[in-house]
Amino acid sequence: MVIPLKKTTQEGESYQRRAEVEQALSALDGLAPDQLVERLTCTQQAVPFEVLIYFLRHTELELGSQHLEPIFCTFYGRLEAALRKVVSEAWIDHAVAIREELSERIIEMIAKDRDSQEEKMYYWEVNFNHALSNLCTDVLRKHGPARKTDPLINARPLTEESDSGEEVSHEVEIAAAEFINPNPSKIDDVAFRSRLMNAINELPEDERRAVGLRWQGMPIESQDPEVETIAKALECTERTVRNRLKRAIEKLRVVLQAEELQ
Amino acid sequence: MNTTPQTSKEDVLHAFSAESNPNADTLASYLKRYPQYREALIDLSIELFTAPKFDEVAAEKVSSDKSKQAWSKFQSLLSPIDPASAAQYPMDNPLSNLSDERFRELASELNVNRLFLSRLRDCSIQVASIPQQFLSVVAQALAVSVERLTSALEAPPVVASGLRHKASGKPGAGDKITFEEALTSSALSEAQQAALREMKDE
Repeated sequence: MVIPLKKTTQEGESYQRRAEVEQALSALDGLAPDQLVERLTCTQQAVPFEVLIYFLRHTELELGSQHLEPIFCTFYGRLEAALRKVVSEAWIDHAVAIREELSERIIEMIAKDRDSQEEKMYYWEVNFNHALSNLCTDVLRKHGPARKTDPLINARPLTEESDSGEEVSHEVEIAAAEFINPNPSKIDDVAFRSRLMNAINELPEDERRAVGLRWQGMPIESQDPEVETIAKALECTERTVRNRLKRAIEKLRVVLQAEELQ
Repeated sequence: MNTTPQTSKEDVLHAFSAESNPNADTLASYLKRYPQYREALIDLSIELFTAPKFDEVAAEKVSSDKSKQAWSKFQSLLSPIDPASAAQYPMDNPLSNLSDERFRELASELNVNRLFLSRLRDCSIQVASIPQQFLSVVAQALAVSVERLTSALEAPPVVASGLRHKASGKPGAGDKITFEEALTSSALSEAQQAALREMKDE
């Protein structure tokens, strides 16, 4: 049986992992340790990170070191590669030291979690991407900003805010389209995405929310009162949303252009 | 997860982050159901949407030295009762690797019987009660350091079937017998017992 998360809702129901993680765990449940290791260490059909975390953190699974070691090494190899993408020497000073700190912290967290009845790492089994990017953000924040040459720090609006609603609307739509449908190879690239994520997180709250919602595909406005729009979600006018988007996109464009040059 | 309007903020945010493919429609439906957590849901949706997809990064070949080092570090942080701790690995117990013949020879070299040596091998004797001199002699005979032998013998007792013991809590002293108890209950001759007692730390 797949071990349920110990963390429960107010009603006492176990917290759920994402459906694909639960499915992957069910498929692996009951395999003999050797088969399990073979499956988890397979590079052709890599299992989600959450699955590796599950097998690494639960002592109840009784995996001895001869089976846990190859699972650990697979996890470690993938973690190193992921960290190299998000904490790159290209734009962060002391990137190697920061990556080491991150991987050490994660290893320590898993080891502590194995010996604890608490559910400190449950979220890493639910949404590894979010858990790791939160940890990266914390550690990077502790180490201060990226390089002085970071284009974000030197970001300057390319155009002044326009008073004309029409003009703003047109510009914003074009710019937003670029953001929503950028070069697919770029947007799927982890390094680029993490750079953009950091850039979005650096924006002032109102701009971050506007661009974040637009990027997810929420419309700015709609004639249909049933449709959720950015204006409704942020409780402001459609004009304000466009202005916020324009400011945000100008700042983000600097990052995108810098990435293009690399 | 079934959520109700009274659901706590933490539960709602958890349910949202466990959605398989959260997008604007998923967010819209949550905002409708839980308008009281509007800002938190919006912020979470942005974090989730922008988080890099780490599963898509192809693993790089990490040098085996580096991953071995990371593994050793990880293993050193585990509690001795952890099934993956170094102490639990029978290969690491220098007494577990011996052939039957070598095991018999060793018993005779140490002037003990096989029952006593099995108890030592199966970590049934409290290490703190074993005379240092005896540990040194055993370590020397096995060509390992006293520290390695000691750490191997500190593992929880091995159950008779050969399956490793899995305790629900840390094993208490009650799980292991003392060196003196082992002397008197292992069918050792008086002379053997006396020789071993002489090694006791004063």
